[in-house]
Amino acid sequence: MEITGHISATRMERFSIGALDHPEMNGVSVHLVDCRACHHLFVETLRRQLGDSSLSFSLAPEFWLRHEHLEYEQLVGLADKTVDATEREILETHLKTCSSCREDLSSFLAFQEQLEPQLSVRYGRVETNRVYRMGWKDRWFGFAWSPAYATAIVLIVFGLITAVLVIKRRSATLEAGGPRPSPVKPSISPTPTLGSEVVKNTSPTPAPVPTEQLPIRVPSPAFAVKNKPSMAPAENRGVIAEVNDERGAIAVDRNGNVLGADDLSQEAKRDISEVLVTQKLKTPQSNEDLAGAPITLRGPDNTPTFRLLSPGREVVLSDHPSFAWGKLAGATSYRVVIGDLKGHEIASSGQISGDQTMWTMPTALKRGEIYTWEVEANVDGKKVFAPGTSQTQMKFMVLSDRGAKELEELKKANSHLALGVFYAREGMVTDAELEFQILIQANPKSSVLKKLLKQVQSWKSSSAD
Amino acid sequence: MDQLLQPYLHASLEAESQARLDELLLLHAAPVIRRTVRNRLGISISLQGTNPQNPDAQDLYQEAMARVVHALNELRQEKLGIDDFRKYVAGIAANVCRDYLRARSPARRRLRDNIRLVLTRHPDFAMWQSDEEQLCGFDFWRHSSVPMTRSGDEKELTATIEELRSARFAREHPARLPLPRVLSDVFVWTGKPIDFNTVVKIVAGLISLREYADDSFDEETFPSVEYSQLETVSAQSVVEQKELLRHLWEVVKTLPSEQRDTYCFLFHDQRGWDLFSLLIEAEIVSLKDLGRALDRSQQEIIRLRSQMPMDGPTLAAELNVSRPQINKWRFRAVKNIRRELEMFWGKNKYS
Repeated sequence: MEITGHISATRMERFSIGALDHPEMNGVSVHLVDCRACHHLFVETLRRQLGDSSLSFSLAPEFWLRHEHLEYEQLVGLADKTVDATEREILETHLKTCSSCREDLSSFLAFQEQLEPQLSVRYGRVETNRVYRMGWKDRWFGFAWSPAYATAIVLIVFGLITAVLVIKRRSATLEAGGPRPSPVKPSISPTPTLGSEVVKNTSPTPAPVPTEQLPIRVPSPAFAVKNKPSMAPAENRGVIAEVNDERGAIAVDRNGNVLGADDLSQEAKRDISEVLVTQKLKTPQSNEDLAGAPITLRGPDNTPTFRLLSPGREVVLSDHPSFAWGKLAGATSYRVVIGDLKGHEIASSGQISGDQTMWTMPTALKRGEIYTWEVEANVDGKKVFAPGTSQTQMKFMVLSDRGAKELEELKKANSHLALGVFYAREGMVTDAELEFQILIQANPKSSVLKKLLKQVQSWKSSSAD
Repeated sequence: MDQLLQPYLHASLEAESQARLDELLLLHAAPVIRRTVRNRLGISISLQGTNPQNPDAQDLYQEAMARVVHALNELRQEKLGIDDFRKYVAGIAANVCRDYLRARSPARRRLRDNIRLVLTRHPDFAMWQSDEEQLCGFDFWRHSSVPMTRSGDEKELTATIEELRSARFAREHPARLPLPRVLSDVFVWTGKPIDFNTVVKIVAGLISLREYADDSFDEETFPSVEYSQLETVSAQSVVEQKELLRHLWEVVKTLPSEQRDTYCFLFHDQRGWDLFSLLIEAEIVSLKDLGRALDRSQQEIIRLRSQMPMDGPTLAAELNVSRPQINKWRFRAVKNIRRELEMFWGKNKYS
């Protein structure tokens, strides 16, 4: 656009903030080159817009990088040490002034460390199978419909039939006394990780599974030990018990020495040794402390009640525990009440919507203390309590400070055995059960682990009574 | 009352009032909002109120504009007095930035990073791109033709989380389980690939993620860090300012072209002004000089100036390079300029 005549003040104001359309912006900029008066107006307009405050700008790299918050790839790069020197310097410069990114990084590094041992735990095999077959079928049809591939398949099948006929004829001629051909090996399943019973399942449905027809649930994920250094044969070391753990084998010799666990604390090694030698777990004190007492505060009531699911008479790690209960038909709201052993209310959830069956405490409970909890449901304006009057109190304990610190250290060792023994000792029954289940998957023939699991489960069932 | 507002306040006809309002918003409010958001959040906003690299830019701009319009309506009804309109708009924009930061949850961001790490590191899981969407699930689903699971609305999502919780996590709270185990149960439940954002929402719901504000980003505290603790060069008098800018420009011109362009397009002073405006206002360069120095046409300079000061992602898109590359050029440019200016101005100029 060609501009004839001088540019008005209003138009220049718009030009200076870029608020004219594209051809007009270009027209004005061309005009400014040749017209000193208009160029002067442009400068004056900018001067007015800038105001009269003094000029100041930063020369600190931290300032110029303050908005360059760390992205996922950069977190990974820092964690894996794959960023080059300049990028590292840049990221460190940003981290100096950004506490949020510093927290992001430390949280990420902690999680990565925590994840490392879990990478060898294998998941989803049952489901894997089901969906894989569907993909296989799909791919098969896609494959077969391609003319070139279809021709190739026909040729391969023809070749196989010919080969079988030739082998049959040869075996017939050798039947008199020649060496028998080795039996034909079974063909390899397209899903080599699956057991045969799973392969029989031909259900192709990929849809979400209804609750009543949940796929078989593996009690606890198994792990596969990768590239672990093997120990000398057990009998050569006087070993009396050996467990294949995620970190490698852990064994106890005749003298009660724990092998393959040098980095564990003396206390943890002593506990492991004791458990593997005696093949028994000591019943934790908390089992007795958390046993339910009959509820006498409320009068007899025959109203059908509902179940409290978790935590159930055990020690929990979190001081912000989550409470879960079963749904009560017709309940419009719930209220969770936490109390101490003297019957004083410590905290309450307030009214929770009737479609929620879980609540997490927003404030911290004191560690090492025992608490009771109950849920009050509202059904048609009537209050229904769980545990009901015919049931016993539901208690739990928050793991002590000392225990929490010990556990934090222990988790670094990547040992399900050490964790299982610790959880059992502290009365963290559900966690102990999980660890022993994991161990049994890696040690299916271990009678000692089965005994330990059974013992933990017996504590659970007696506490549920 | 600010003189800028008089034409709007005294307009008697509806059409005239509307025209004055448009003018106030376009010429005075919009530039202040753009500068404030760029300065406080590092997000640049175009004249159209958008940023193709960041969808949040449009929301921020519209929210700030809506609050300004509301204030101007109250002003007409004499419920409010405004002594300095630009300052008032800057305050509104700062509040919008603060609200934006408070709404961000670091807990969710961290959960998202953790889930992504599990999906990319664990051999049984995978994350892959499919038709503009990021899908995830069991690794062998990657090649299957099974359709993905979509999230549906919030209500549907909440119902899914509740069903999943009672079906698979009735005995153990998911927050106490390893994240790979929780993801495995989610995938078993869906039975097919699912988009990444939905998985994050489901897991956040399952573990009852406590959302909390990202207070560490709070700009209430950051500006004091910006200008008191970090090296800042300043000039008070007009002559001194001109001298400083002239020297800065001489140094910038000597930088390698990538560093030079990066520094120019990202630069802003403490008020949020871009380098070209400062140089032209100080009569150090004309538009033509800028074109010559940066090896670009005058039209190109006009187009670039309308986007300045840019943010990192916008410049990365403009120069067609990655964000880390932009940061490297910026980092080197700042170091070089600091060294040169220090030699000329001496360390005593740094406040």
